[in-house]
Amino acid sequence: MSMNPYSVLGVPDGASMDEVKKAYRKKARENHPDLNPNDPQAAERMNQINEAYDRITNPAKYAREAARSGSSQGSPYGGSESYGGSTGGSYGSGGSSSGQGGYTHTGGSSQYGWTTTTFTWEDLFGDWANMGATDPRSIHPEANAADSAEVRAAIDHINSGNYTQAARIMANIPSTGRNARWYYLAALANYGAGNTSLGYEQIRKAVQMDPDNSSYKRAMNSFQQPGRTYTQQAETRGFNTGSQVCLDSCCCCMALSLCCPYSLPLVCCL
Amino acid sequence: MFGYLTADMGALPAEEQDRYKQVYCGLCHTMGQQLGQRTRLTLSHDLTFIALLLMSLYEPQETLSTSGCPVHPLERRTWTTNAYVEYAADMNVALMYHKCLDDWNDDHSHTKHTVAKLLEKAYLQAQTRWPRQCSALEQGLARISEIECTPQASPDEAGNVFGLIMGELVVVHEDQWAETLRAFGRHLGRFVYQMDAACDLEDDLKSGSYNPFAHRNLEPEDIHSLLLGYMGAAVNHFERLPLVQDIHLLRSVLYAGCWHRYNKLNETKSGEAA
Repeated sequence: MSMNPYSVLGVPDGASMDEVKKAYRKKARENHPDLNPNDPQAAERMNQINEAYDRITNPAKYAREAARSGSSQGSPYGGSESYGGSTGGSYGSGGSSSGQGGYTHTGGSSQYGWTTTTFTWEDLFGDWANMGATDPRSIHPEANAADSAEVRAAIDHINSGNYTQAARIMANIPSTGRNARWYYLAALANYGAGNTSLGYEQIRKAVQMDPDNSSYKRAMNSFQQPGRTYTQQAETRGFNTGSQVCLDSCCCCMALSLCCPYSLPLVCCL
Repeated sequence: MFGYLTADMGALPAEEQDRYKQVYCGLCHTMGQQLGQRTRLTLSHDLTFIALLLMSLYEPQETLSTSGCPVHPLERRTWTTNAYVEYAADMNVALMYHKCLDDWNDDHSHTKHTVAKLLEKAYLQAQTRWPRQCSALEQGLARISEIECTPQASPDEAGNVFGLIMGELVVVHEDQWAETLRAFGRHLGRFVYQMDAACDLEDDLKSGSYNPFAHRNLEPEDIHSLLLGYMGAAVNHFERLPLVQDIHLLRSVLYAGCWHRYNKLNETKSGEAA
């Protein structure tokens, strides 16, 4: 897309996300092909509007695409997405899955062949577009002279984003070989592989075993960062994640029903 | 596992409380009409949230109605029906049906077996309409039951599987929003499962029941940080959706309401310790 995505949506550069969202919906209402049946250009305009929105909300994805293709024009929407039939206000193209960031279906007895054992978690939780600079997945450990061949292999896998493989290698190292560095590397591997609480436990252990190691402390800090960022976002939006329990009877009833998740809510508490 | 995705009602202005009730009551009525009156007993806040989310994304035509309420006989309630409340009704029944089946398999609870049988006809209707989601529920919940019986299982796996299930539940159309919705659902599912585990931890330690946080090298503040991180990942995806309608209400669930029970439990604990 050579045009400025903000201009496509009709907002000033650097408009807030909420403004961008409102502008997107307005443009979509005006240009949706279903609402403009006599306008052959509507589908093309809609694709541009969708791409503009995606560029603003997923900037890292386009930066990655551009870096990979070596050009600043890289775009996953080659204009070939058909504007299929929509149902009641849907702005998307109907029909088959885009297959982006998806997971592989394997053969199985059910029609959808959906099993839970064939996913790699980095596919599902890779979230490369959303990684902050302090995310544990942006930590790239370096091999040192004392590292065994297995540890070196694990480090290579961590740095290539193959966290599941790295975690497996680390898990196969017997417990006699598990020093602070083992815990540090295993933590990075497990976090990336989606074994978040295990990773947390491991980085805590690494710091316990070697409290003066600044890399381990930094890593521990980065594990805690997503939670801090979220808490700050909540506050910025005027919400309190540690909010006082409201004493209004309405909330008490809700709390009661929450305490009994398996019993049927025979009483509506609202 | 259920009931964490609630609105922080006490903190909401009156019109948002009313809107929440419109959808909650709409879900109740729709389940009654679409799936049979007995299904109304399984009404869930979580599916109210999902209905609100999908309504915000797709802005369907809504039909508002007013009627009496069997549970609040002196009040008249206004409620909404639309395509996504209907979807949430189906998902509510599917979720409860499979949960009851799993509980029956696990501990042979006759109550759960009875409930599952009562929901079966409604479930089969939902399954005809939404085979992908029901397949995910069936296989995912079965896998979670397996994990919960396997002492050496990875402590994160059950939560990750529940995330997969939730990822499927929040996707109705395989459209341009499916990827973001799926990612949101996956992190949200992890949050819900782990939050439930965190809230049940003390009881589970006493009873010896499975809990992914049991006997771990994790301080309470680590668990808190983990939970914050899961929800943080979820909202990163949520905030990429072009949501305008009911956005404050939706955010009140994701930034405040979902902490309600956890905060209450911790306050009780520190009250006891003091």
